[in-house]
Amino acid sequence: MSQLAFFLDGTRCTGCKTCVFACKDIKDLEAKHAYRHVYEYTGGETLKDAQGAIASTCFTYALSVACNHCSSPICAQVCPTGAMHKSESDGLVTVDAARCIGCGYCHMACPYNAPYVDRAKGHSVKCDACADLVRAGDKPACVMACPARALRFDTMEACSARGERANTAPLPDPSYTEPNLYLKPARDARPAASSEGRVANPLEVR
Amino acid sequence: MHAHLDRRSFVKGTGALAALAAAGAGGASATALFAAGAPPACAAADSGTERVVWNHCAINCPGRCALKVYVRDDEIVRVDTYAADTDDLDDIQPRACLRGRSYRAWVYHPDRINYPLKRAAGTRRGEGKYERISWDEAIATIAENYRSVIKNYGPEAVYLNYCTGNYGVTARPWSRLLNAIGGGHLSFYGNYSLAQLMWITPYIFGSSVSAGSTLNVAEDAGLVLVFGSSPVETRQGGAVSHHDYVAMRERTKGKIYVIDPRLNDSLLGHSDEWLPINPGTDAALVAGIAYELVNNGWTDEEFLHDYCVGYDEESLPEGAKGQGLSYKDYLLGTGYDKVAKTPEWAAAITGIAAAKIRSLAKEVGTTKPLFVVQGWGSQRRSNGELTGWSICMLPILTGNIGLPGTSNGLREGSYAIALTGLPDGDNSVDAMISVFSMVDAIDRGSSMTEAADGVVGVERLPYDIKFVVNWAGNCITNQNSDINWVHDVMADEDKCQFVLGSDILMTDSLKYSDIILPDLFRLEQTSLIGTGGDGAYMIAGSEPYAPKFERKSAYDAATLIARALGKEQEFTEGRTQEEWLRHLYGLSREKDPSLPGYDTAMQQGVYTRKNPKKKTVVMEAFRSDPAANPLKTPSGKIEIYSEKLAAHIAMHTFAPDDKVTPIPTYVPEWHGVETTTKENPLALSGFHYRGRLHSSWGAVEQLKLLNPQELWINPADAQPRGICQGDTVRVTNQFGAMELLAKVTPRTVPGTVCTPQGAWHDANMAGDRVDKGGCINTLTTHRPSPFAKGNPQHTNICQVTKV
Amino acid sequence: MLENAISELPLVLFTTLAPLGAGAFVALAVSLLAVPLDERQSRRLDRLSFAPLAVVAAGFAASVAHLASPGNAFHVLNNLGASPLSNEIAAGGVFFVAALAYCVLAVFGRLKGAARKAGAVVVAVLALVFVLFVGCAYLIETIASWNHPATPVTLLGYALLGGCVGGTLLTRIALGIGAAVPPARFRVVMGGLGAVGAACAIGGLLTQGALTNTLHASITAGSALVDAAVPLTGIAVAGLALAMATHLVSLGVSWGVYASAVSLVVAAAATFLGRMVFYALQLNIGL
Repeated sequence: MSQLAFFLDGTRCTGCKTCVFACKDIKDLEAKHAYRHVYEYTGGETLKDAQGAIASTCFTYALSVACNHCSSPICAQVCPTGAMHKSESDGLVTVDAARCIGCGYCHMACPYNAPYVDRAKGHSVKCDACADLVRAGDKPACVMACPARALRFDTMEACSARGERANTAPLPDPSYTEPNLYLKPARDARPAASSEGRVANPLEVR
Repeated sequence: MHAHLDRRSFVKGTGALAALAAAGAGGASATALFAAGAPPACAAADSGTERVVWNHCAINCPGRCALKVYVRDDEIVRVDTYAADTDDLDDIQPRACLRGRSYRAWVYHPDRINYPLKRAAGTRRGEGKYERISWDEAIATIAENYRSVIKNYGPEAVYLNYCTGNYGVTARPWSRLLNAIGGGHLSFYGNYSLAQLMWITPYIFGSSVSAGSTLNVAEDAGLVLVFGSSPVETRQGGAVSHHDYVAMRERTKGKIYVIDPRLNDSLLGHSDEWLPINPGTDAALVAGIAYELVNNGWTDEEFLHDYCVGYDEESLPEGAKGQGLSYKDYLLGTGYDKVAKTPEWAAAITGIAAAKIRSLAKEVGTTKPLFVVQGWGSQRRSNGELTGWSICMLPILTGNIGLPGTSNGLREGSYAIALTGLPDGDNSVDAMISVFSMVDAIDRGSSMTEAADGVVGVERLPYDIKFVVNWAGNCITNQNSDINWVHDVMADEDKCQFVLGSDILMTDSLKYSDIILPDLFRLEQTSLIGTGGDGAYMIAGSEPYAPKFERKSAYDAATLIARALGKEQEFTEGRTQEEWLRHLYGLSREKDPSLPGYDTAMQQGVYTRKNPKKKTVVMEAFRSDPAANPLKTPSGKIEIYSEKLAAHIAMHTFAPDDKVTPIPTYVPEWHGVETTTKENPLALSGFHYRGRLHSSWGAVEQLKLLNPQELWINPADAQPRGICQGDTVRVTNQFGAMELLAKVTPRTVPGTVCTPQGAWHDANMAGDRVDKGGCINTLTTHRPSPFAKGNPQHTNICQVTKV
Repeated sequence: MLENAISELPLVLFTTLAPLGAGAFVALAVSLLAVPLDERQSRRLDRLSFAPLAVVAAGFAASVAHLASPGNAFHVLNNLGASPLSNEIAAGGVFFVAALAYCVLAVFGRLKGAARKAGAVVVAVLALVFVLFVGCAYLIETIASWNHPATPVTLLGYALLGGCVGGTLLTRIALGIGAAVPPARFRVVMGGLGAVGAACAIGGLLTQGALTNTLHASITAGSALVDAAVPLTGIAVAGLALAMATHLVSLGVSWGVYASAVSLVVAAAATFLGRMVFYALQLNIGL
């Protein structure tokens, strides 16, 4: 089977975070935890001149990001136990809770803020693309939740036919991990690793 | 925050009954009484099989999205929605939004109300201290107070407060109850969503028109103007405006402008569509554009003369002729304020450069079809009636009404499934007040008149309100205006004799109750609801479990009250809630035979229906033949000058700064960008938040964390105040003070700060009254708008300081 | 911005204590090679060698404290070769076992003459290899503010400085409090290694700061992290310099054992702060 991937239509995404909460519900996460985050990336200025006329160069867009089940997953590379591992059949990167020691290296290394150590659970946790659902022929909860139908999940081939590989700020250069997130960029989108804007909602993504 | 966490762990550890025992008998604090127990999914136990039942969201949003509720061991373990894995945007899928997907955290909230409560002896309303009582005692107390109010005053002193927390075919039994037990109650007109526009629309288009075209009509437009609206935020579901707007934007050939002081979320990724404007000045922008339309011959003179009255001298009604009263006279400066509404005039007010107004006017005047839609943000202001009307002038002036690709300037309409609701019965009380006047009517009802206060049905109210039913609503304080003033009126027991509250959770408004009844969520009851957007749907809901603790449905609670007052048969007509549902659905199917049968509907949960016309263009029949299909205005035409409104103005009294006119004009707000002061130099505007629906879900921790209560402030206003992103700031004005976090962003215009409305008020009302919850209504005025007597909740000025 | 450092406190402790203890074995090897010890002094030094071993053990214990499931620790070598953390733990294990064997054999008198010296040198080399692997564990491509030779170099610096100071103290205690200063060979080598260590530590720390200052991520600017870490960095650098100065003084005076003790405390504290700074400057190139 082929590598699976997320596709996000940045022209449709309105930043509502329904994907985040559908995930929190099915994964039964505590209030402060999330496997998916929606980043607001904003830059530019809105000013008034001496006559009071408003001029704006403001740009802003939302980007919904969970684990990208990278083709070159740095989380799995740094993992000492092999608990963080990539499936050979569908490319999903998941945590083997029976092996994980909860050292947090995957959390530190991941450039997509995906895994973190849930000390109560005693191991690393992250988006597994609802592997149970997917392997039973369904789609991840976040994808089926999106009111704007912006988020999709399919084979890498299908997703890459619709968008570019994670090439939008605030994401890093995709060459680090080869993420399986494909994007149709919003009109406002800036290239990956751009420093033109900033993540404007830091409280909502940590 | 800490108190909340402590309470949660306390409740988790001890369970509801132990919590009660620990609270003791006397003067227990409110918080200890509302234990819901641990969320079941955390409570282990894979025992028992999982069931799936359908139900629907029921809060104040037309979404009413589908909830697919997974139940195990009589507890909800997951809340999914209705979705199919398809890219087809035309496939109707009422996917629930982030709030709908957070129901589990709300249903199992530690502040859930489980038992009837009475206000603890020796405490005042608003303190929030309650004691558990039996249903018998609660009903007896309600009946006793009701009898005494009826005896001493009459049904005119009984009031059913505005509430929006629970919708469904049989959800709202209270008016029916009050009509059954005592002949009626004082009722209200308008609402908190669109009071001003709702009031003025019949003067413009007649009573048969209340909204615009469906959003998908804009797919055929050449130009789309969106005034004061963020469809993706206000109606977030997967088959209403959120979805419909995204689909329309993707498909339309037209250029889109969103005119808003805030780069709202409907513009995310599309900032080139933002036309930033000073708040409350939309009517000035319209006048500036209209001036250019007139001077450049871009008006549709034929349409204005055949379909409208009052555009120019020629089309004025006979009685208004010769006095410079036409709309054209207003624009050209030959009437009214005698100022020409040039783009320069408009630029100084709106903050939009004159050159931009000219180019926009050219686009408006020369692009067809033009689709103009307004949200309800522009009209929720002190000048809201005339602003809402003004926005409708752009399609009117250019003849873009009733044709493919057009609307009428009102909010997007819908193609919906209409179901017959529980009948209210007959209300013998003729008097009505504006919905926003409730606290006034408690404070000084018997001095409120038709001329000064917009009382309808009688010249003067006979009594102050003495008995209030407040069910499933947070509109006494939190969602009302000027909370500090409301508190003082409501806490005074010499004013209102009795407040019956009922809700699912302790809210700020509920703390003003004398008796509280524990309610059920709609999704805990059998239910039916119909709605729609571009496409229509109906959802049939089943109970996930029998009511827990001593909670009862509103219908069952009302039945007990009716029984105590000897009117049970009149109220129930021998039917349970579910029997009413079956009965009413039968009536619905008589009108709409293609609906599935009751049992089928219940089993399938979600029923969808595509619009057979695909798109609904508003006022199509009127446009095609105005003589055969006249509007329900006095002239049968669109009224740009309203004789009826002129008569209304003559019969009512207005404050000097309420510059009322019988045509749509720009009037500066009382507390707006043109009327800031040295003490309050910034305009303050509210907006709808994604993590709440008004105040609903406002106590759900997981939503609060990812939707923090913030004040949007432009760097140009933040820097001189030393305010950085994430700082706690205090917002103050003549009505109060609140604290919240700063979001320093170019997404709001300089000079205007914005904050999401609906945050839960959290102030020590016996102390400094500083609202740490960041509820905007701590700072809003209770003065009603001039015509509708509606809530001008975006009309505020303030100062902001770093804490 | 120091929250990162505080939340990684167990690792701050681990990376303070492990290099300190391991580094001492380098100094002990120098002592064996450069200082003529009589039987009593030799036995004393062998017994004292358990002290740095205990410090390393304490470091390991601290690192275990940051694990969510230490019970799964037997899996940590599963990814040997690929995971820098597996490599680090393997290197640490080899060093620790070798050092323990050496200490035990030595204290039971099973190591004599050349075998003993060879053993000490082997342990010293393993110690440095271990510290190098600790440093390399932080060379994560996506953490740009760490992914630099300065990271292992700084740790080696801490090991050499702290180790020389600690080793000198143990040697002086073994020689006898108040005994004459050790031979010049020892003093030159200890002073020199300590100086190299101090230079690596201070240079590495400042290099990391300078590097981080040029980095930018979407959520955090490197310069903001650096600004927040400036006071702590200043104290750490001053402490390292002070430790070096007192170390040099201790080598040349008869009361050097006391100066050495002071130097050790200062070196340990400065290393701790330096490690705090290291974690405070964590900057992922992504989110």
